[in-house]
Parts: sequence; C-alpha cells; structure tokens
Amino acid sequence: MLGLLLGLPVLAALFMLLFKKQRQIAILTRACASLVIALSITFCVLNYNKTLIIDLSFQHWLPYATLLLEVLISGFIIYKAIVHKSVLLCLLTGLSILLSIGYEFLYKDKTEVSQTIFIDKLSLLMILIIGVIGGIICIYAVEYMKDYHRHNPEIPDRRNIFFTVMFLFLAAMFGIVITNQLSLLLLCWEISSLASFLLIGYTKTPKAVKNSFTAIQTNVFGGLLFTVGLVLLGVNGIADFRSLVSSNGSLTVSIAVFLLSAAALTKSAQFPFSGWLLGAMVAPTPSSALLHSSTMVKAGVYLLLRLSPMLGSNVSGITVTMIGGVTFLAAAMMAVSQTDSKRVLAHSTISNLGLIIACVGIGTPEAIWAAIMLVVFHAIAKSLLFLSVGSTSHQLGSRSIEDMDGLIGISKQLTIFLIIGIAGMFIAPFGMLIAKWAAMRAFLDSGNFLIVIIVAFASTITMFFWTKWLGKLIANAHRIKPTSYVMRGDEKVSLYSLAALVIIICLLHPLVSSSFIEPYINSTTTDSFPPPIEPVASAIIIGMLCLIFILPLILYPIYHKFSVKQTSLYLSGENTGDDESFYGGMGQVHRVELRNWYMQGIFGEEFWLRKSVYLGAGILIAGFFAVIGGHVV
Amino acid sequence: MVFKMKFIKKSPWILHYDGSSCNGCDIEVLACLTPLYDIERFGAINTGNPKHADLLLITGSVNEQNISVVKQLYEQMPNPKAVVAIGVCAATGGIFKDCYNVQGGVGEVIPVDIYVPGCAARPEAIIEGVVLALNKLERRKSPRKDA
Amino acid sequence: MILRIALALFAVPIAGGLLAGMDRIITARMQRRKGPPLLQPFYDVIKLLQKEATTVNMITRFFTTFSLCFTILAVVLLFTGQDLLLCIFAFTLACVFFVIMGYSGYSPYSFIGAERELIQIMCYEPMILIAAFAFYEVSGSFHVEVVWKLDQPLITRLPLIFLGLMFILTIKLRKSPFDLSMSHHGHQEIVKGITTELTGVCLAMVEITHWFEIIFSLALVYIFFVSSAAYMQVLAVFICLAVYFLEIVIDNVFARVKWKNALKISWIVTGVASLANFVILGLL
Repeated sequence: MLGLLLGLPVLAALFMLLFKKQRQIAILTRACASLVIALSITFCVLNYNKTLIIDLSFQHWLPYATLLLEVLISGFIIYKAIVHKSVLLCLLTGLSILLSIGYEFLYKDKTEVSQTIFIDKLSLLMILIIGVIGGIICIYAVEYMKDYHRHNPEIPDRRNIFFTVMFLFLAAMFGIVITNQLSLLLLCWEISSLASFLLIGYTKTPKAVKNSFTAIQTNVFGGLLFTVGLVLLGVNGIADFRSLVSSNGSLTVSIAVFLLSAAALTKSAQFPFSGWLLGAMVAPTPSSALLHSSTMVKAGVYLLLRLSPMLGSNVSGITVTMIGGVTFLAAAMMAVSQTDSKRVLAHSTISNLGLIIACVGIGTPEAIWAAIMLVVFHAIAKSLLFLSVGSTSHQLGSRSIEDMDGLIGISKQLTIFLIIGIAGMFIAPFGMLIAKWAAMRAFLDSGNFLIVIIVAFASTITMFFWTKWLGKLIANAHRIKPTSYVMRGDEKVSLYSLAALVIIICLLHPLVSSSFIEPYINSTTTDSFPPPIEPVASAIIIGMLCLIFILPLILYPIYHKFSVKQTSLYLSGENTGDDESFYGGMGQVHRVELRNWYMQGIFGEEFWLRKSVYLGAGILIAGFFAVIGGHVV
Repeated sequence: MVFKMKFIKKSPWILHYDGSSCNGCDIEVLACLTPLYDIERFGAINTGNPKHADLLLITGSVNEQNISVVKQLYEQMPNPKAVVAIGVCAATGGIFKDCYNVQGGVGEVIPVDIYVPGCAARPEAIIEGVVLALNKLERRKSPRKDA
Repeated sequence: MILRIALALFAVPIAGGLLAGMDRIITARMQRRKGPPLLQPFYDVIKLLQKEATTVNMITRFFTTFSLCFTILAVVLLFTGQDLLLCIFAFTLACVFFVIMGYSGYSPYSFIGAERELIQIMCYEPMILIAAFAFYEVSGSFHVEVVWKLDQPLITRLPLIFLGLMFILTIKLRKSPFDLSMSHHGHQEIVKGITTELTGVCLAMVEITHWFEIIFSLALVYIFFVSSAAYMQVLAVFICLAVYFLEIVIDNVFARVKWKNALKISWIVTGVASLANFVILGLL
C-alpha cells in the first residue's frame, strides 16, 4: 500500500514523459490524480489505528541509492548553474554534495539504518492534505494549462514536463512526511526544491529564469544548512528523528537543531529568506497553489513540528518564534500595498506561515495544536484562492484586484469561490480564525508578550487587506450582466470540491482535532492534553457558521415579499441616470471610478522588505551565537 | 394597512439646497441650527443627503444648470417628503427673475408645500415654515404598503 | 441564563438608545443649546421604520441585517459570560459585514466611507484584542464570568491598557476626532459616508446596531472595574457613564484628524500602553 502511494506518482511522472499528445496527458493526469486522492484516503482509513514503524528489507542499500540520487540532482543543478553562469549556486551545491558524500562514507558505521518509515497521526494528516489537495490541483491544472497556452502562445508548450514535475513533487512530499531517516528526508527535500526550480522557470522568460535561480539558491542554501546539521548529528550517532528527539542536549546537537530549523525557515520562506516565494509567483498558477502555498512550504513547518520537542523555551525555539512573528507582521503589512492578486496571496502565505512557525517555536501542546490546525485550514483555503485567482486572471486578462469589481459580471461562481476562500482566511466562524484563536492563547501562556502584541497587530492588518479585497469583489454585485463564461469540467470539479472542503472542515473541526491532532499530541507528551477550543465554544463557532448560511434563507423570502423601490445613486444630484457616470463642469460626462486604498506611504513593499530581511537575518545570527554561547558559558 | 406618519413630526431631517441665490437665505437657514434658534430642539438634523431627508429646504431660484439637480434630489428623497421654498427667489425668482438663465421659482420644477416669504427670510419664519411643512407631512399618507 | 439573554436582547437597545439621547442633550448643552428630547433616537428610528424604504441594490439590505444580527450575537455572548475573544470575533465579523455593506453600494460616498470605516477598524482592533489578552493574563481565563469573582478589579493591574482602551473607544463610539467614516455632526465632506445610500429600515438597523455597539464598548469598560465586591459592581456602572461623558467632552473639544494621523496615533498609543503594561505585569 505504502509502495503504491509513493510509486504511483513516480510512475505517473515517468509515463508523462513518454506521451506527447495533449489528450493523452490530460487523461493520464486525471486518472492518476484521482488515484492519488483515492489512495491517500484509503491509506489513512486502513492505517488509522496504527502507528507504522517499518524496517524496509532493502534499507541497507538505501544510503547508497540516496547518495546516488543526490549526486544526480546536484549534478543537474550544477549543470544549470554553469549554463547560466551562477557561481554562487555552483559553490553552494558543490559544497552541499561534498558534505553529503563525506557524511555517508565517514559516519556510515556510526549510524545504523533502522526504522526507515515512521507514520503516525501527523504523517497521516499530512498525507491526506498532500494527496487530496495535490490531486485536486493536478486535475485543475489540466484545464488551466490548456487555457494558459491558448492565452500565451509565445510560451513553448511543455505540458508533459509540467505534469511530470508535479507528480514527482507529490511523490517527494509523500516521502518527506513518512520517513524517519534524516538523509532520506534531505533527498526528498532537494527533489522538491528542484521541482520548484523547474516550475518557476517553466515559461523560460528572462524574469522566470532569474526568479527560478533566486529560488533554487535559497533552497540549496537551506539544503546546505540541513546537510551541515546532518553531519553534526552524525558525529553524535543520530540519523533519525526518533533518536534525535530522545537525545541529550549537547552543543553539537543544539547547533544541529538550530541549523535544521534554519533550513526549515528557508523552505517556509520566512524572513530573511522570503524573497524567493514572491518571485515564484511567475510560475503557472496550479504550481503556485501546490508548491508555494499548500504543500511544499509546509514541508518546513513539518520539519519544525518534528523538531518541536527540541524547541520551546530554549534559544532555537525563541529564535524561530520571533522570526515567525516578525514575518507574520511584516508580510501582512506588505500585502496591504499590493494590487496584484497573486502577490497578495504570496505575501499572505508568507505571513500565515510566519504565524504557524511562531506557534511551532513555542512548542507547547496547544501551540502545536494551533499550528497543525492552521496548516490544514491554510492549505485548503489558500489553494482554493490560488485556483480561483488563476481562473479569474484568464477571464479578466488581468491579475489586478482593481479589475475584480467586474468579475461578478463574468462569473458569479468564481466570485463566490473567491469570497469563500477569502472568508476562510480571516473571518470569525471560518477555519483560520479558529486556529488563530488557539494560537493566541498559546502565545499568552508562553509569556512572550512581544509576540502577543505582534499577533494583535498582524491579525488586524490581515483583516484589513482581505476585507478590502472582499469589498472590491462585492462592490459591483448588483450590476450583474449576462454571464459570458461557463466553467468547464476540470475547473468546476476542483473548485467546487475545494470550496466544499473549506466549509465542511470548518464544520467538522472538532472531528479533525479529536481524530488526528489530539492523538498525535498525546503521543508526544506525557501530560493529558485538553483540546484548546472548548466544546461550548466549538458549538458557538459552528452555530455562527450555520447562521451565516441560514440567515439569507430566512431573509430572502421576507425581502422578496417586501420588495422596495430601487433608486439611483446619490452623486450630488448630477447622476446621468445609469449610476456609472455623472455630469461635471460644462455638462461633460465623467465615469465613476472607485479605487481601493493601498497606502504605499505606510505599507510600501520596498521599504518594509529590506527592513524585515535585515531584522530576520539579525535575529537568526543572534540566535546562532546565542546557541553556541549558551553552551560555552 | 396604511401607516400614519406619527413620528415624522418628531424627527424632521433636512436637506438644504442652494439654487441661484445671494446666499442671504442660506445663512439664515444655517442660523436656525445655531444656539439662538436651535432647530435641533424639534429633532431636526441637517443631513446633507437626500436619501436621509424628510424635508427639502430650497433657497434661491431655479436656473438652467440646476433644474436636473433639483429634480434628482427630490426624486431621491424617500416618501413621505415635503418641500419648503425659502425666500422670494425660491418663490418666484425674485430679483434674478429676468436673468437669461433663470427659470423662475422652485414651484416650476417640483411641487412646493410651503413658501416662506422674505428677503432674506428670517430664521423665525423658516422655523415656522418647517413646522407647517411637518403638519402637512403628518397628514400625508406614506405610500409604503404592507402585505 | 435566559434572563441575561433577555437583558441583552431588550434592555441593551433601550439603554443604548437612551445613552445616545443623553449624548445629544449633553452635546447641545455644551454648545449652549437646548437640544432634542431624551427619546429623540427612538423617534428617529421609529420614523425611519415608517418611512418608505428605497435601495440602490438588492444586496445591501442583507449586509445591514447581518451586521445587526452579529452585533446582537456578540452582545449576547458577552452578557452570558462566554469567551471574550469569541465575543470580539463575532463583533469584528459584524463590523466586516458593515464595511462590505458600504462597498456594495458602489457609490462614491459609501465606498470612501467603507474604506475609512475599515481604517477605523484597523485603528482600534489591536487594542481591543490586547485588552482581551491582558484580561486573560490577569484573570487566567478568557471567560467573562470570571470578572465577577475577582478580588481586585482588573484596573488595578492594567491601568495603562485601560487608558489605551479608552483612547480607542473614541473611535468605536464614532466620536470626533475619529469619526471619519460617518458622523452625526455637520461634517459633510463625504456626505453621510458609509450610510449615504441607506434609507428607511436599513438606516434604522444601522442606528440600532450602533446602540448595541455603545453598550458593547461600555461593557468592555465595565469589565475593567467590576470585582466580587458588591459595591464595585454598582460603582462600575457609574464609571462607565463617566467614561461615556468623557467621550462626549472629547467629541466636542477636538476637530477631526486625517486618517493617517488617526492610524499613527492610535497604533502608537496601543503599542506603548500595552507594552509598558505588560512589562510592569512581568515585573510584579
């Protein structure tokens, strides 16, 4: 079963390369993606009651296979770096692969390979997220990429490569969440970096190539940190999570944990490493949805979650928390000043990851609970938003939020999906807020007041930019023109199912908590752990959600019965009658144009980006020296 | 069932529009809001918004440029509503009557309920005009229908 | 429980309306005017309910109703002693619906009003959240009920946070200098701001929502002063009234500020007050 789960995406990826005809690719993608969804669900159902710890029969060969693959990947990256004359990338990759080779040969005897596979409730939940959301996004991509190439005929059609990379990435993600071996995790980690690199550079425009190199440089740097951490752990004879967590806190282990955390921060695009995720938005939207919002960036969070027993109130934990907090605030502020919808999504992704990482850094059971809840809700709502924005940009021919007041005239459905997605990101009865609520409590209990204040401000700013966008979507709602756009099969299926998921998971959040998150947390701590959201509060939240859906049903017939007179807008008495224009001086007709506030002066991106990168780097370096200093003193 | 507008008399919200006037009457209208006359005693508020207003206070005559504006403001006021024309200009066009662009009094464009005389009209007269208009409004059946 | 819900549903709007009426009389007296009768807000609302309702589109009404419903829900949750953060979330949701109502008109005045309203929310929301956090820090629980069992009222531990809260209540109560999005004063540069396009029933609902908002805001003040002692429970009511009076004075003394200043001032006050108070709490 496990082999199938891992093998299917790999096989799909390989087959994809063989096919050239677009129809074959489409059919294969649909079939494989559906299978991935079905498999991941079945896998979770079948193994729900077990904690799988598996020793593979061929695991003695595994280090060699891992090393071989790593050499291949590094070779490919170095080749690309030489072609594009990137010395830095060359050096980073070279250093990292040399360390890996050295590690395998020097410490092979010290570390024994055992318990390669370790699957608990957290892994199962991650498998569900990756499988279901990944599958849905792949299905969506079939239709999207067809449109994409129709709209951009100048871009060479390399769809088979695109889908190959997507499926390969899914396999790598499955690998990350099921393995217990750090070296195997590193391999999957680098495969996902490579996938990200290939997808960002998909269009091969100069900008895309440049951004893809930024991304791979950051990620290879993260990989290097990871490898150094691995080597340091190897000195102590540690090669897997389970022995790491139960190890003592010697200097080298502390430094290694810090380095692994820093590697996680690069993957999760925290300051000072967040630049690459903004650049990554040039990639086709489904890949942004899959890699850069719902799954790959969560790999960093996953690594931190596994390390969380080693974090908490020590230096590494505080560093991670503070970087998360700073990122949460700074990225939210930058999101205010953006008009490009995809860039808003990118900033908000970075910002939310900051919140999640701050939670993980706190490391208490309720903080971990909040972090996992956030991962679940964020993955669903954000992928819905990305996919809707993708379809929207094809329909409007623009990604600007300012143009979205016309969206409802083109497609009611898309507007509603966007509204559900946005609501899912910040409003009360929806998912993110439930999790944020628990997060706030966890921050308070940790006694870190700075982070508490940061969270209060950042949450408010988050509310500001989402509401602003929401307002723009609804602004023109009464002028519904005949629909010129009919949603097609793949798009429809994926968007409807994601929108349904957003709402259903909100309704079922106590179930998600009791069946996955609480058992996981209970397995890691000895103390009994009550869920942070009390049953009464959960009931009120669900009640509010129901109210939102029931109220219109009650109100509609009433308002329908007492219909009121519709009048024209107040435009100082100069309305020309169509509500869209007014008479100016000398009888000239002017159009009414309403624009949102972006507050460049206060929330300008350039200003804050530089500041927060310095701040993040400062915290990270200070943390590094504090880790060393703490042991020396 | 048709409601009788009992409460409109207790809360007359005002929209003040200035046509072609010398601003004398406008100043007197605003004087009604000052501590000396304090028209808020009667619950009146100067809203500046036709959609909130019950009474339209017009000073000055109507000219080519503002006919459509006056009409539109009047149309945008929800029922029941009343119009008070303040000053001679609003009644007949006054000294502007023979100007090339002046149409005449407000009554030429929209139905006027109360004419307040004067050049400029005194605040006491304006307040009385408002009160008389309210009496008219109270009798005026609201067109709002239930069921 | 049922008594409290009934209190929240019926007594709150009456109290809110009376406070609004008092506000108008006191303001008038400060300007050496006589002012309207005490029941004026009720007259206004009943008149609005009786007037013809017109609308610029068919969805605005839904958002006004939503806003009213969730404000009521927030007050009910607060009065039944539920989780304070949950009350604030419900309240914020109501505010978001109100803002969206402003956007939905697509009229320049209500659109700008909605944006300014949103900025006002951004001004006061951090402080309200931090006040709730401080409440938890001192009382050990988010449940509002706990305040009735405290030996010492919260104000003794959280004086600076209370000052910050009072500062932003000026915004929440829609008082000058922060009445940017709509105003009962003569400021008319954006006409009636976010409510410009509303008439009749919808406008009446907005007024009633505001009564609930007044009581919600004053209830936050009440939380800071109440303790298990019976005399404090009575005294706290009078302190709330005194705070409201102070807000009226501020309303009449200050001229409006620009949105940028409103944002900067309120954030600086929030940041300084909360940080200083938390540091003091940590030292004690």
